[in-house]
Amino acid sequence: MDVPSKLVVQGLTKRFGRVVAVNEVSFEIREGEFFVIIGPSGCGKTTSLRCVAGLETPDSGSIRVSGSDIRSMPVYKRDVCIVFQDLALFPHMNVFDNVSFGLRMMGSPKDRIEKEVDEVLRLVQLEGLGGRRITELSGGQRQRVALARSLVLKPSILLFDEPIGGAEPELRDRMLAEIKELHRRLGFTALYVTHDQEQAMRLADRIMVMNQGSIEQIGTPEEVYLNPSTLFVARFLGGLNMLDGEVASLKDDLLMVKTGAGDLAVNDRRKIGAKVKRVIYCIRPEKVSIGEQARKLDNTVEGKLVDQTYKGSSIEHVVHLKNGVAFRSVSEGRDLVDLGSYIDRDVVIGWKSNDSLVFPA
Amino acid sequence: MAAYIGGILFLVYVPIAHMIVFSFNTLPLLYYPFQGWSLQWYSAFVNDPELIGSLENSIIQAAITTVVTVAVSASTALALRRRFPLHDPFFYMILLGMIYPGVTLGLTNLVVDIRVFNIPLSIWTVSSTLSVWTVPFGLLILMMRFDPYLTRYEEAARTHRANEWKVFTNVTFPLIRTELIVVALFAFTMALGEVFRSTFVSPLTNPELPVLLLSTLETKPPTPEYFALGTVISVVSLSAILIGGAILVRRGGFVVKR
Repeated sequence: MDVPSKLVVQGLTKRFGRVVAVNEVSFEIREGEFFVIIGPSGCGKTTSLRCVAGLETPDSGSIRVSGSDIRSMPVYKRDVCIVFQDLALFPHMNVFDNVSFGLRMMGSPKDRIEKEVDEVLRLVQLEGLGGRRITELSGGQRQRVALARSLVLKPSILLFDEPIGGAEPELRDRMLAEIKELHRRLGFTALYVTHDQEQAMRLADRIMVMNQGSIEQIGTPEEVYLNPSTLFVARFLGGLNMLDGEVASLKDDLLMVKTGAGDLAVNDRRKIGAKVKRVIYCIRPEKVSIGEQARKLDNTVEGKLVDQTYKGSSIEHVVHLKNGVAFRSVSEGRDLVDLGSYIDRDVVIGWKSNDSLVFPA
Repeated sequence: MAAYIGGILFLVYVPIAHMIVFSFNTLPLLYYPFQGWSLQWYSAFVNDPELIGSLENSIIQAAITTVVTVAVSASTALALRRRFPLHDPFFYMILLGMIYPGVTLGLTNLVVDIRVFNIPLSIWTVSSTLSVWTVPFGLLILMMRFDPYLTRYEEAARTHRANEWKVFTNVTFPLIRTELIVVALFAFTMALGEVFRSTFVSPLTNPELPVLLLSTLETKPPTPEYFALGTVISVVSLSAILIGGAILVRRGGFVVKR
């Protein structure tokens, strides 16, 4: 029933001087899973990855791959490979030598190396480019060489350290799609580290959100987005409108919160309301409706429409509430609402209690 | 600016050119005008056992110093990339060898070798003394020229099944090989022409060439054999420096790599 765990990390701790980069972090990755660690710079995600690879030595904790503890193993004996952010392709070697590097280091016979390298080059659509020097390749081609170099070794876990860097959006998009497609076809187990929300949401089977060395939440993209367990996760993974408030009443999971914009309701599944008084009331912009249709929703607030921004596939509205807070409303696709003529006039915004979020202040 | 540079080049190279030209003179020494072309002084110096012996010693010593310098400065430069306890004091201590007054270095080495360890003077004593001086130069050249991505390439190698030795031979060494050649050329040139430190620790028979020249020329006037010898050494040294400089420039100029 249970899919076996490929990687089990428990109590991982790593300090640099007085800074605790990774603080008692524990998580599991299942076989074939695409696991993404996301968080701001300095949250410990890269350090955690490097500990799994062996490039950093943890101060404490255990790291088990397919059941065996690899903490005492030197890097080259671990069955992992890293695709680096800056790719780190060997500049003094051509494509073939780069991709065959691991196999050569392991002493594989020449004909096997040729066969496997040809196969993986075909897989990443770099057929026939074995003889090229790295400097002759485009950015996208280089990224595929880096992927090939690691894929050819068929490691137990494929590690990615923010591999899709500052390339143009179109290239990034293509790389994301290719990585996702390769994962679908090959089914490898991946540990992918990034700070980019879009990459995480698109690639991950499960996401782990980290902040200042600790885990904030682990869950599927849907779980962490719709059901963030902390304010940090809610803010990090998408836009968020926030209001300070006080708990007024709690009945059957329906929590009434007094805010500067009025009394608002939220579906308090985690029953925060019973334990704290001061809370932060939140609603995501894309859940906020605007205009006459908003009046039918559980929570309505009036404000002045100050800005409308056309973003291509969506329109964003900025509404100033009577307590001065600016709320954003995003309408997309078929629900696009054009209120260009209403700027500087009062409008109504609204949302369902089920869509709002509440966190202790 | 051009005049300034021209002036410096003039001051440095005219005496050398003068010496080179007169090494081919038919008559001994500086009898103007220049008489005619002759290789007699070259054959004289080749047949002078004292001079040849010194030249041999100089070359062997310079070679040893070069090997030691490259090995020590390379391993130190690689090691200094990581922070470790006493990282900075260690670095400054090595730099000291460059700043330390040459005569004092030579003298103290002489005392330590003869009095403390009872080692007779030889090319090895000269080599060990000169290495103290050349290693910091090599170290600085390497540290300035190391590719900042070198560590990343090594990590990539390690995470693709290469143990430490394989990382060194397949990735690190090929990427620093050119810089090591440059260090070797500079070290060789420096060691070959050095006199201040060598004076103290040179063997008495067949001392280092510059030492021999210095002591000889104090007592008797130079014969043109010395010009011939000087020409050979100048040509070799200049070539080494030019080659080393050219390699550095081709690989990215004399500016410090970011």
